[in-house]
Amino acid sequence: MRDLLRILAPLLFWLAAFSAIYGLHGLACSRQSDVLGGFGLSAAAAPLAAWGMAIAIQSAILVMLHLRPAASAFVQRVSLVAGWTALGAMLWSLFPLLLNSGCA
Amino acid sequence: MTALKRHRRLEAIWASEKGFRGWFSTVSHSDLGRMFLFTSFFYFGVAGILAMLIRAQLATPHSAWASEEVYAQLFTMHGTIMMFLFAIPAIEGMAVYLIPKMLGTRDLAYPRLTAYGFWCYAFGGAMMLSSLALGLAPDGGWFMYPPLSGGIHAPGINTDFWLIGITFVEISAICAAVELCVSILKYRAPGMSLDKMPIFAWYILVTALMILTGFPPLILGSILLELERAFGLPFFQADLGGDSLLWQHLFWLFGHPEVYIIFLPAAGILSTVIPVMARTTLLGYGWIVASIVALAFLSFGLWVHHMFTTGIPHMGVAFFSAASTLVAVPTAVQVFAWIGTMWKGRPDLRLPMLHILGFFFTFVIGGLTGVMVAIVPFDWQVHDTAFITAHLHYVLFGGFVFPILAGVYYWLPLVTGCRRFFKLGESAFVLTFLGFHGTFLAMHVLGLLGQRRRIHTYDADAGWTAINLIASIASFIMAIGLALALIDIIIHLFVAVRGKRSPWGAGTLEWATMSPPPSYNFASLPHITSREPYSDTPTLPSDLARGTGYLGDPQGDRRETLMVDIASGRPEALAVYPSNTTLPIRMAAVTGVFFLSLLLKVYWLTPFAVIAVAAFAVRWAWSLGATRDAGPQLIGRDMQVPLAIETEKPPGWWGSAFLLVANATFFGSLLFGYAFLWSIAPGWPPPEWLTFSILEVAIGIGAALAAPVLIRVANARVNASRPATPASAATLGTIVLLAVCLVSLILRAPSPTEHAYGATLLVLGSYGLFHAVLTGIMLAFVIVRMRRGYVSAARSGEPAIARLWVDYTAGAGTLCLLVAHVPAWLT
Amino acid sequence: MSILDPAGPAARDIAALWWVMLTGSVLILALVTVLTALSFRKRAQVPDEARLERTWILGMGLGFSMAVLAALLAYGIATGARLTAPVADAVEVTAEASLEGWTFGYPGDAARGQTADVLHIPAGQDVVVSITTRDVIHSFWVPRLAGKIDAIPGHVNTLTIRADLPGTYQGVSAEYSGPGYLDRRFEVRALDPADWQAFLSGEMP
Repeated sequence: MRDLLRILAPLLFWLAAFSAIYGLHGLACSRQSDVLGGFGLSAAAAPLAAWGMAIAIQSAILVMLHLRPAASAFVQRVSLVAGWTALGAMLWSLFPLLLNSGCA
Repeated sequence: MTALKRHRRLEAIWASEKGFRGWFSTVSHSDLGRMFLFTSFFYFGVAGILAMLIRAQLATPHSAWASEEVYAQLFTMHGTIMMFLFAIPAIEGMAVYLIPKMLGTRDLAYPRLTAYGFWCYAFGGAMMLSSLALGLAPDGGWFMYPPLSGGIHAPGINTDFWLIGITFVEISAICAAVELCVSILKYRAPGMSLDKMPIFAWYILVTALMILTGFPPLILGSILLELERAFGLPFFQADLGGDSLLWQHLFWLFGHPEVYIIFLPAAGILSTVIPVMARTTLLGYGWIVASIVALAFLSFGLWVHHMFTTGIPHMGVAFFSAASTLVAVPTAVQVFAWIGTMWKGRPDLRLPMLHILGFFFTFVIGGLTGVMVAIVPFDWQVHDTAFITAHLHYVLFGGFVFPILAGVYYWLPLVTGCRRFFKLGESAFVLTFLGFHGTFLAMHVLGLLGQRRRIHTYDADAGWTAINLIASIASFIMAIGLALALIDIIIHLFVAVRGKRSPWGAGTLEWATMSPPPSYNFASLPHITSREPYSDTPTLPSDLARGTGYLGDPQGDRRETLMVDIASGRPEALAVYPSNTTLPIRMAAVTGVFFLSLLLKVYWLTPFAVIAVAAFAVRWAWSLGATRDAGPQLIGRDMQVPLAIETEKPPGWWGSAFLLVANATFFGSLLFGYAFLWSIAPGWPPPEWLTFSILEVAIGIGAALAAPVLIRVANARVNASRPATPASAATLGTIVLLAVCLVSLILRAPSPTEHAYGATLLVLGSYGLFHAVLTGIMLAFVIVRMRRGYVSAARSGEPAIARLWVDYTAGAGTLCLLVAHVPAWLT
Repeated sequence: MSILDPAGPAARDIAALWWVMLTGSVLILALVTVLTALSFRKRAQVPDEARLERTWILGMGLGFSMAVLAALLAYGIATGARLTAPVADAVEVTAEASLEGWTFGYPGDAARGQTADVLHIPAGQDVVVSITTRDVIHSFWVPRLAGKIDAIPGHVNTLTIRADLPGTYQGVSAEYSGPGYLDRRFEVRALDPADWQAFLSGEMP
């Protein structure tokens, strides 16, 4: 089970972060935007900050996979590819955050 | 024991009942796999005929072939049947039939569940088909957008057929998914570690996990829409705090992964068949496994790309545009790995290979148009036009029908033990291929010229007449091609010319059984040391028949197989299967009564049906287990393992764990829906909030915190051979307390018909309550089983299963109480 | 009705996007077909597996596909951002869909009443249409002017359209809306400045 989780974990984190940041952006542009304001976050900054944090965690997962290799060479190889894929996806799928940050 | 004597002995243990009765009592994966495939291809025919009627109607302008109302039923049912009654069940059939043979074992993890799943599919499908026969078929398009599908604009029973029938059919998908996950992870031949699994098993494993997480959002959406239609709970009505966009989110949260749920198993066929046709091995096995996993996850981050025109802020849409282009990368990795495989070997142009070439050409076009519609501005133009219809057919026909035909032709010699007699298949392929491209290439152009999808006719001066006629004629050529292929396959089934074993020279284990395979698959289970055991040991079939593997000496009349460690494939336990029974079909029938009572609105019958289903479930579980410890079992090759029921995690534990994954996705979708309505839906805040009750929250959460502790005490006492009834009863008490708090929440919530807020609280409370009741029944069951001697320190699995459900219910119950009360407390 | 016959900047940008993507797609399809066909040719020596993996999986699968997709995505997002960017000095009109038809409303005082199934706009000017619906979901689509956007109950979506020249442009509801869907159409009439003023003051029906 642990081997399977090792393969699934990096992309699972990408999916969670991607959905969460999409949700955060939706929230920032919705009538509940004052909820974010309550935490001292502006609509443009919150998703961007969350993205930075997510990239850091995603990289940390990759480092962990490198530092504590799986017993099986095959599982290790597949999980590393998954880890790099997830980091790539994290950068690629959320890069529109850099281009504009409006609600238009 | 000679090979023949062993064969007779195993046949006596494993064979299904003879004749007609055997259909209803069989639990064999070979029988049920074939039944799934036959039924799904029957529906392929039905939906194909509907498609021909659609093309006949559109062949000329102002055709009077079908009225507008009939036409709406045609296109809705064509899509619905192809997706839910053909594609998914065909995959399940293939997987159910092939997986145990490929993994070198004798059956799937839960034979009775396979049968139950099949019968739910058969009855649910019959329900859908009857709507078509009665002229009351669903008519809102296969994605059923409210408000058009809501009670106000679609008051008839048509939409109910869809919501209730599809939910019924989806039970079978969930059953098959749980079962395939557990089978692939735990039921393999000894020695088959994860990296030695046939690549097809990886595809099916990932697909099954995707079904578990992809279907629950649609099941939730269907339940909410049916609640709105039947009882006026306004989840999708903008003027009462609902939002029709919520349906679109839930539907496409399912709908996009669905495309990959259909494509991945087909890709699994390609990854299996291409190397064999090219007389080599697959290029980049590890890369392909990684790209399957990547594809599975990425496909869950794409759902909004079906909603580019709904006015979501451009940046939100841009995320999904980026993710949608990204998903093309692992697909490209696979396509180029297949081409590389062909470069590595020497491909032969035999019939399965023809379909594979058909796949390459068609699917690459579908992929390219897919990238086009992932680009947001282009999608604004072609969304809801014939261009999209053309694109999705390129993806599904190219990515599913061609591969599945390649697979059917590839594995038919295994299923029948015969070889093809008349060579109709080649001409059938040419007609299908030409007809397909004639139809759908033309439809791209129609879309660009502005023809909307789902219109029942068009004006002669629109400039679409000639192209539509070409598409219609080509579609009939394609239909003739597919009919020829069907005739070819039927002739193959009935005109027996014995073929040789393993005609393609494949190396995987399914070819190492007899053709057709016997009921027990393998007389003894092989020990695996490579990815292609049959290539390495050409004498494998006779070795296994002589009983040189594991479990070569059947004990009593037990149906035996082995459970293994997930990563290494080391034998862990001896699993004993139940034998033939009509319990699954009877339970599916009462499940059908439950759905029928909802469809026909005979609500007095519903509670009785629920009780009947619960009674069957208890009987089902009761028949497992033993009252004495059997101790270690000899499995051959000088190895001993315990019985599966004498391990810490019996088969039921694994099944529960995967079912809870699906369940958690369902609950997650519900919480998403609540948050979505709260932040996006017009018509909020609600006129009345729930009044905060500290008592309800404190008692409920207190009980939810105590329950996991108490069940652990019970588990520990079982393991120490001490009486555990009091601790189990105490756990039951805390679960009852949690249930009381949830009932109080439901009763105190604002009226569910006046605002979506009250309706959502009702559903949240009911979800928690349902789990509390379910877990309560399980705990009562475990207590009775303890008193009857079914539980011991060795046989501790049932309390362990109860612990999983107690933990889940405690967590879900706590969340229900919190999300209901915190907003109420804040305002 | 053809999106390949654009009559305004938004539709023209998208048509250009289409021609670029079509060209690229045809080239890629040809490449894949040729590569597949070449695998059938007779070869003397057995190729090296590690090298094949590098060429096909890293080179073609990852490198080639990501390069193409990244370029296309950047182009697409830039186009999308341009088409959704707020415009200055736009004429603002409203569109309300229903199962009975479209109702359009105009700026200014009561002199100009609403119109049914015909939207009047000034030619050569940006027009922002605010779109909603009274009943089920519809979609506002004038293929020669711009992409479509849905009319969703309880929400107001906006779309910027602009017709270069005066003339009549066909529009349709492009989200299936039950019986009568075929005939849920409307017209956009782009007027020259004089006619537009006349229209606004109510002198033209």
